[in-house]
Amino acid sequence: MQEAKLISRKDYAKAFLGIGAFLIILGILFKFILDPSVFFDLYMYVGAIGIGAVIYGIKQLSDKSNQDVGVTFSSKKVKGFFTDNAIILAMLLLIVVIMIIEPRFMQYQVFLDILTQSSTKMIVALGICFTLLIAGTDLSAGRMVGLAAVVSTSMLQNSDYANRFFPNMPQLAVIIPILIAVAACMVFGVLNGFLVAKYDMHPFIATLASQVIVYGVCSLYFDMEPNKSQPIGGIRPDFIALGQTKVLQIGDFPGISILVPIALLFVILVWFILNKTIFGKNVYAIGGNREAAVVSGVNVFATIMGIFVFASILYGVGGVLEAARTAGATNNYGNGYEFDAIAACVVGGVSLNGGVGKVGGIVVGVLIFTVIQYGLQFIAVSPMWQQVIKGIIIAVAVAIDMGKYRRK
Amino acid sequence: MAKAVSYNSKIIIMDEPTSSLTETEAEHLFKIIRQLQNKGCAIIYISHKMEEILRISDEVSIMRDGQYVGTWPAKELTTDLIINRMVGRDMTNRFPPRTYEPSKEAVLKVDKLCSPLPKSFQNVSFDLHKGEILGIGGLVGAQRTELVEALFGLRGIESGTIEKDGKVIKIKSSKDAKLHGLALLTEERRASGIFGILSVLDNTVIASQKEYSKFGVLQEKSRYKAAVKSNEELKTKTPNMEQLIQNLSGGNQQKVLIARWLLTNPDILILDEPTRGIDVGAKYEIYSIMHELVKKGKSIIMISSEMPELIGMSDRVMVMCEGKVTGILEQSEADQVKIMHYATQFMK
Repeated sequence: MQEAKLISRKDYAKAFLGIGAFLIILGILFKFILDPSVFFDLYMYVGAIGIGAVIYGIKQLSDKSNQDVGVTFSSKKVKGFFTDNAIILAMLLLIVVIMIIEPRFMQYQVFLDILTQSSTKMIVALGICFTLLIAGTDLSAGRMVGLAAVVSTSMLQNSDYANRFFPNMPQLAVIIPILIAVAACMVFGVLNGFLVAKYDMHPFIATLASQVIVYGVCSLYFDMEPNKSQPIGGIRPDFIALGQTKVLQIGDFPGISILVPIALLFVILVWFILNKTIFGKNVYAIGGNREAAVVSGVNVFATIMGIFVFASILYGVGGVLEAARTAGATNNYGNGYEFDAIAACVVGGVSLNGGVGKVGGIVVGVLIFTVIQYGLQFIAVSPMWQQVIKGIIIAVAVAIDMGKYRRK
Repeated sequence: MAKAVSYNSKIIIMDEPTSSLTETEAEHLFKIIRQLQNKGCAIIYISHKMEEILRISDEVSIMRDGQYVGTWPAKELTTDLIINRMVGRDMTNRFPPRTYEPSKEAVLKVDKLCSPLPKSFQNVSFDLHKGEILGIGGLVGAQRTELVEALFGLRGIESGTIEKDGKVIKIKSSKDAKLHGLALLTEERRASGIFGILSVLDNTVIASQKEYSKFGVLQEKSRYKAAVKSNEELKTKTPNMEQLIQNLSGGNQQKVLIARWLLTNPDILILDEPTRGIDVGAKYEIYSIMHELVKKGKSIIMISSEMPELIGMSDRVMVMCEGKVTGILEQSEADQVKIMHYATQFMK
């Protein structure tokens, strides 16, 4: 077992500044030296890593609380680093491998596409994380996404469309059907919260029941005359714009989908709620030790209601955005979304035992799954292999997570 | 116990075996231990009851803060020597001297309190005087914890009244209890006291969050300051406020819990086994804190199963047996024999 090596924090920071500066220069060099038809936008990534290293180095220098504490390198610490960040490192490795196999993966358009594809899934994951933080779950998430998609589009079709859902409905302001769709989800959010808070039902059973009810209600609505279960089409362009507009189209830059800033907004909102509000602290308290929360005077009933209702709002928003993005809806939208959302949260460090989880981790978790899905598709790996790999990642992530708790 | 003995093992490890036993049952256990010794079985007996250890052991090993201190033949040891080696210094008095005088006015009057469950507490009546420590003694199963949980709104009350400062009050939840100036440190801090995976900061302010927030949004600075101040007053040992509370020692965890409740400005603190599982040095610190609190005018109800603690810390001792109050003793009349007599009144 090699001895632990101690490096002063200043040297540690300077090393990162040095590596960062080197990479930035390398990136600039690459832009001019490398053939863009072979290496595409590799220079951007190299430069970005360089900038990241420089920022990390500056942070290490300016963080006053760490100034005198040296940084130790020992085989134990290195091992710990690899176990804690195993999934991210695996993803980075996968990215590098794909870039070698198919260099077109290095185009920055790929990066933008991955961000766009993660956006609606991100919002659903952020919603479900509240239920995971209290050691619960929400199996009705996906079906609520479908409900919101169907309800919103049913009232937002062009007046000249042949198969209108409500043939005689006047055109409403686009916000109204959206609010109705989210409200519909909230009704079932209240149901979930009530069953769990009042009757102490395990969230698995309560949300399993409402999952089935929501799908039934959605399908009944979808099957109403005159629609009779036809996929809802002829969607109004102002609604579609919500999902398909591109923003920041400056010069040559193709712009990013509006879904990305919307998702970012929700990331910030949820981060704020979990870290800066009494409600957020109560969520962690109930997840950490429910009995202690009761003794301390935390309003467990209200918090649980709040959790399931807020989650349902996020699922509703996700459903509306999915419908806008695809310019349509059927009652099968959102099917299974809860599993991807839970998997992303777990991979992102949310503990199924409750009380542990950070928004940053959830963002990373969602991105990891999107990168894997998109990347494997990019190199034409069969979707079935994607399933296998997804499953392995979930198992490994939970095993590592459990391993952290077993060491008493 | 029977299960462990039935395995015909060569080594039996007993961790605090008498904490749930009556004295007669403990005597019986000691007989069994002697029998096992005669059969050649070796026993590791973990206990914080030093009188017991000296009675039953051949050799005594002492550990402190996770470190092994040493092993000595029991014949060479006395309680004082053990305490000295456990704490690292001499402790001539296990309890701080009483430098206060409780008043005669009653801050809490409980009258004929009955639980909806017939086997639980029935017809409990007592007064709590301002500035006093009222100890509640009794055996496991005497329903003492159930009684104080009912006072705190965590259990139902079938009939009876509670009067605080002369006014009849109804307590249906911990929220009500807090509003009326009560605080509760539960018996099992790991099960219902601490939030193990949360920080010392979060654990300290959890019961008083509204004080450090505006419209539900936390005011970080005042929150942090309050937590630091409250813990500093109790001399909680923690490297920083972000430390996970589960990494603190039992004594320091208990201090954080007391810090938590002090931030709610209670008039009455109910402490259920406040020094269970805590080393002798930390126990003394908790006792000193309790004295500080009653000197400031607060009143304490303390449930304890440790006879020396009950006698050494209480101004009056209320004894319960099988849900009923069997006796209330003044400090001067409280002794082991009388307390045990009341604690086992219905069990002859």
